[in-house]
Amino acid sequence: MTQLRKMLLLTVTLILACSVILAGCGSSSETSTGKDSGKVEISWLVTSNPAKQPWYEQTVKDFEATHPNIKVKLMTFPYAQIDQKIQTMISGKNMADVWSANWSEAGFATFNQLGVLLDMTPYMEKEPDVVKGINPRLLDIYKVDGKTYGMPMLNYGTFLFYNKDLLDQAGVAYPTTDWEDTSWNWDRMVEYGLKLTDKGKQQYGLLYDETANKRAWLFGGDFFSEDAYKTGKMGEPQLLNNPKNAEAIQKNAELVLKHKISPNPSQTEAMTQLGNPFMTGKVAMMISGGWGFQNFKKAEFRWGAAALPNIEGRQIPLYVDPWNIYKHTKHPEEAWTFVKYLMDPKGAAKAYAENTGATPVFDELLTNWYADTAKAMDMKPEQVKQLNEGVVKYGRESDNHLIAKFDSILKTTNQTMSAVYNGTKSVEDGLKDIDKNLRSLNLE
Amino acid sequence: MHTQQQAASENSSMMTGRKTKMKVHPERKKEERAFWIFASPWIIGFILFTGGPMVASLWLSFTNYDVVSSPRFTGLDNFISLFQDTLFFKSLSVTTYYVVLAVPFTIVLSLLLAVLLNQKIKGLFIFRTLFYAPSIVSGVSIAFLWSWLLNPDFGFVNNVLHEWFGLAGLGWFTDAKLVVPSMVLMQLTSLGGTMVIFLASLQSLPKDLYEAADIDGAGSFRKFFNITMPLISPVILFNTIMAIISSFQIFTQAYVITKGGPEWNSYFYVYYLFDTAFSQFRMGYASAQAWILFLLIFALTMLSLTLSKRYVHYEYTSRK
Repeated sequence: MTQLRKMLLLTVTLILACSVILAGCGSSSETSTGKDSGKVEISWLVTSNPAKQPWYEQTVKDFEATHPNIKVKLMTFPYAQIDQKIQTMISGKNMADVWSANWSEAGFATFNQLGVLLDMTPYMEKEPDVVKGINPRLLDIYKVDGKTYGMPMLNYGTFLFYNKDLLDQAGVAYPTTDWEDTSWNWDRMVEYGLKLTDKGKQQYGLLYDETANKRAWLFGGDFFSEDAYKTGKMGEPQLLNNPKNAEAIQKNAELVLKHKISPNPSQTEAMTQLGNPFMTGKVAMMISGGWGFQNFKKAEFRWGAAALPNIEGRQIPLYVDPWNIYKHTKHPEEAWTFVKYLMDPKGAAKAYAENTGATPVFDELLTNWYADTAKAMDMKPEQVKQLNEGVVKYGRESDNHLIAKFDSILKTTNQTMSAVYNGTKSVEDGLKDIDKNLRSLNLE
Repeated sequence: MHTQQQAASENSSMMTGRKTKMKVHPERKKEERAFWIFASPWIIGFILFTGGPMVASLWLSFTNYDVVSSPRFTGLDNFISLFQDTLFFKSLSVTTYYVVLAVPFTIVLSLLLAVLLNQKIKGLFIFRTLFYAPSIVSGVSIAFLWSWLLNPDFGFVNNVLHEWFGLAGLGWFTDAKLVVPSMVLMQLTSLGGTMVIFLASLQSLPKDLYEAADIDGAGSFRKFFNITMPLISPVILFNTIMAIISSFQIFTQAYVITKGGPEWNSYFYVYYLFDTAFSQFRMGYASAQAWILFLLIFALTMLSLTLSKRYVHYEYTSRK
């Protein structure tokens, strides 16, 4: 009896102990001082990605060749692990010197709130040419209280991608690339969706897999205050204060429940598990981030891109990724030199755009990108230019990069939103629930 | 074995006691040293990677710690705000609900399976392998498998219900009332470990009692409930306690399939803990949560052990 009890207790203790502590098992990388011959070593943290890997390696090689006294240690981690890796590195005070705060679930604001981002303003003032040729709107995104904490390296807007084959079959004209065209509005898009939905073929007219707050943005609504995006603190939720929020969510719920042109959340998730649903050719129109331009190149059908519907007060999500420097880096000068190198529109930044197809931020790189992208869609470069310039004009940086700990906020919102889209909860009750739950989040 | 072993260990401790008083035999001393050397990897590992962090987390549970700045002592603040946290109670209640359903489900089914696999039939080896096989597959893969089987729109189960029986499918993971039972159902592919322990204990049961029962004319059911059950009761206790512990720690299924939804109905305790620690960077709060879970499981284990005195028999456990 005692024997068994002892064994049980021991097992219990062991199992519990293992589960209690998850942290502290990260890698301990060497401190970044290369001792040999006064050489300085800085580390560069990136997410592993087969499409980017050659660029990472080439960049390090070229940089070291032109900067003989700086060594760059490349650290690649899978996206799924990166949040925990960064957390471990920050708590161990050996964070990488250069990385992108948005290449993780946590996002720019979370890191800025933790106070681990270096203020780059002094360096920029010394060398203003580094950001020459970047739209000032994009530069402002990572400015907090007049201080710049990140250098924009790429800019994905949000667009409406469509399957030309399916639109041709249904006999509807391709939607416009002109963001000012008022005839391309929400109702028009729904009309298109109705014509393009075919239940028998399991074909959906429109896939709009977007978070509730950004759906509200399209209608000029907002779940949060202006201040939240500036300070990074969620503060008082504004769900019930702005009537446009309810309107937006209502219209979006109708896509699934009334018009039946969009799949519900669980259907969307099942479709997404198999890969990008648009690529199956069973989705006629899909509103998605600008990475679609790269991803859809492999599609086996003809496709194009258009502006989002014209709605008064609309705000379109932008996804601008920055390069950041760790605040407590031992080698800020060298880290800045490396960031400068990464930003070079004639060097590394150009190679990045060409290698990955990501939308560049420099005007001089955009011309090439317009031509390449237009070719892939069989459209005119001017049309792609019109699309991209419009999205920057109406665009604003994605909420999850500007409000800290946004993944908790998003999870809280999604819990209720799925009930709204399934029709088991009214829009009004849903918004009330979300408001209440967000308030009880105590995010400090 | 148990009583013998106990006797033996008492015997040896008495002997060592006597010997230390006189003089420790050099052989004995050597043996003792060997023990410490061989056990040291485990002991060091335990202190460094388990014991140490546990003590650290106990300390952290009384602090406010965001990973970057050093921990700030806040006394019982974390525990006080936990008891005012609605999500804490929600996650605790869905987890308890899961435990209440999953533990009996696991124990009854794996015992049944063990009894079936203890029969002398052809191809027994194949059956045993087949039923154990899912246990060696990673939890994430199993979760993906089930998410497809039970998908409300494209899932196999709903298709079968619709095509063969003309029934409307169920919203397994999307219906607030069904999500926890669905996750209990998923335990079907995780019975292997428990089943093997039952099977081992069934195979070590003494034959004489069954022979005697046969002579007395007892049927199969009678034999099962009056001989088998009491004899394997210590194993049932062990498996029950292990099932309680692992059920309270359910995480993967919800993380992979439902993200805690719909409307928090699968937001299990450890999932909430994981979120506070790794997406909200509130290590102190998360440590407090971990310790409450520890105490809860500890209390339940002690309760099961106390209650078990009445139902568990140890006489025959190890007699061959």
